[in-house]
Amino acid sequence: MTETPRGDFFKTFRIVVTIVFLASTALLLYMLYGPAMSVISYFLRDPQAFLVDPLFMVLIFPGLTYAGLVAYLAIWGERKFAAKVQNRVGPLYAGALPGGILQNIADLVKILFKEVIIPRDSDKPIFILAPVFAFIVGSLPVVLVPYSPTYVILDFPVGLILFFVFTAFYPLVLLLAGWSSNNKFSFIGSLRALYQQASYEIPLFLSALAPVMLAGSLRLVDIGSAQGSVWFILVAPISAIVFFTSILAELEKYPFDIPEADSELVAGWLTEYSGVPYLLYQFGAYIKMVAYASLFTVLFLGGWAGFAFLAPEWWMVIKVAIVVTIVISTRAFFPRIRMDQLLSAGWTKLIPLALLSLASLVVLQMLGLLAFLR
Amino acid sequence: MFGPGQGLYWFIVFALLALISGLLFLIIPFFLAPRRRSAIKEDTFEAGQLPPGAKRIRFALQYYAYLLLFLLFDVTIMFLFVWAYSFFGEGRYGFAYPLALIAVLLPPLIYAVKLSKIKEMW
Amino acid sequence: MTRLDYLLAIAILAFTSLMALLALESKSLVYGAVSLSGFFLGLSLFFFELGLLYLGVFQLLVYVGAVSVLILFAVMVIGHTPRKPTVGRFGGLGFLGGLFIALAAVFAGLAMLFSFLDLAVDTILQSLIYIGPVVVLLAFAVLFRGEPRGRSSYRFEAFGVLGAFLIFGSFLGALSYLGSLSVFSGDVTFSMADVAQSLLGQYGLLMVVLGLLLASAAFGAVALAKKEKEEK
Repeated sequence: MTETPRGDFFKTFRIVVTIVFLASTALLLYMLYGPAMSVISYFLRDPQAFLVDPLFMVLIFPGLTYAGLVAYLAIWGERKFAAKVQNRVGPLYAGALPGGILQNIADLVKILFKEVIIPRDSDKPIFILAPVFAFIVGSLPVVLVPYSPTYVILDFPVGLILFFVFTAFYPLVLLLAGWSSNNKFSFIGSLRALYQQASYEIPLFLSALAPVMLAGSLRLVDIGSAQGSVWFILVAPISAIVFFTSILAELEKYPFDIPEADSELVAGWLTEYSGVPYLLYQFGAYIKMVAYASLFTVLFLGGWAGFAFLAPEWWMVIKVAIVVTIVISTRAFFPRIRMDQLLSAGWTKLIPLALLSLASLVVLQMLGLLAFLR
Repeated sequence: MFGPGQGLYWFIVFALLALISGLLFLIIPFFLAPRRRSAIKEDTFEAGQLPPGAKRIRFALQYYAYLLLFLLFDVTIMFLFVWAYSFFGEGRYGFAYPLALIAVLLPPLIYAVKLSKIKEMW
Repeated sequence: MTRLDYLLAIAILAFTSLMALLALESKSLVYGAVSLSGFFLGLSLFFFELGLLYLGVFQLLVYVGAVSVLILFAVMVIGHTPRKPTVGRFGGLGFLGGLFIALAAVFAGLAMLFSFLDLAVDTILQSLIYIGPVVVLLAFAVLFRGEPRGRSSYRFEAFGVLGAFLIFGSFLGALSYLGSLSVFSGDVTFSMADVAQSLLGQYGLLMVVLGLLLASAAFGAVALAKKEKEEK
């Protein structure tokens, strides 16, 4: 019944994917072997050193485990919060822990057992690989954001721009996902998502220029450290607002929900995705949210600056938690705005606002009021 | 390895971890999930009235101007980042050039916004 | 230059060249566009390798993030008519790719062998730059002389030969050049301040002129696209 004109290719594709998987696992184990051995050897002698070891940073904090945990809690929190606001209870019954916190694990298990349906005549390799790329592009920015001068996995001299590179990669994945579904609605949905992402990347970059100006560096560690005396949100509040709004648009959160919305072109560019590919997209999106929230904290909320009774990393965690809570609460509070309103708001309102903020910084500098930052 | 030292090693490790977990997620249903294929499952999903043929794609081109503008501004951002970086540094370079650059890009912006509002032209 | 760095350099070169080949020879335009963005990614890896971090990240941001998206968008929306198959299933890719990989493996193997044996890698590689593409050309002329055979037509292969010549020659040239780069000994200082100084000082006016060029291009593109729809 369903002809598979590319059946041979598909078998080859599966073999190639398996080879890539095994090769990268081998490479990973090879790369991790040395550091893991040395960590184990001194872990027993000097546990303190373990806490600043790069392996710990990658795996636990602020890497995989931490980001995954925050994403997990964010998913649960979003559902619970929206439910409470809407006078419902949200996740409640899953598992022994109260509040339905284990709901996500239940969903994960369910999804792993779901049949993966690949549309006929879709471009199968791209259709299957696009979610994986979305997941990678979404989770990699976590590497760049510092949680303190010591807790940063990759301290790149142009770290901020590298973060935005991952932002810029996402539309590519989006296009491929929508196009490969072989569904006109999906494709149009991905085009609209593309317009949205592209339109809000510019205000994002423009408003991020303000912390760069104030800190005089593109290194995220420098930008965080420069806020020891005053948070940048107090010096450039408009930029902070524009940045936060652009984050909401980039993450396709309300009120910028059009590409994913249930009543818009079915589910937009994700229509044909179900089961594990869908999981990869969503989880990647939530990890991306954690990365963006951390970036916002480093750029505008003073990063790890705080009173001395808590370690800097803890201040960062607290602030990021607050930002994440605000981001997920938008689901409960905002209606959805129309596509043309969305786009024109990005281009005609946010960009001038961002430029205005930059101009105000120039004026402040000329008046000599920014001397306290030096 | 290249450029800025040891952090890149861990970046690669992290990227590999992300790749492997992504592929793992894809492979697990291969073992756990049922595979009962049928014609209707693999149909394209469509709901509601289908608009007439070619117009569907044309309709999505309404905001094409914004994509072009995005490219323009992306290139401008390159320059602005450098300017912002040197804002406080030795010998500030003033803001004449960035201002001129942005001013040059405003007419296309206005043109694009105006055109995108007119649906019939696309 | 440690052996690992050498391997990394070869890997990046091979990846970039392969992506370029795929971009040229794919039957499906979308695969070609995706390969083109892969090529841009490879280029940015080159920049990182040379210590040009600023250039590398902006290559990624602008080329992969914006230009590739536009190209992909155009290809997807306009659709494509599949090319008549010229040489087998993958266009010219099968032949060219195989040839390229085989030759690259041979020369890389030779270079590794010579570096193990501590022979003069540079001079050998430099002589190979001139010999290598000639070898490719000769091999091609010998193997595919005369009229097209059977269903396949090798007319596109003329361009393929030129492409292989250029790609392979630059591949070998880059390999020999890399041996003398200081980035592999680890003492490259990346200075954003230098970039700032030249961009904002010497080339500031040039940037504005380029901005004017871009703006006029945008005007033209939008006007053209709009008019096409009106005529339909």
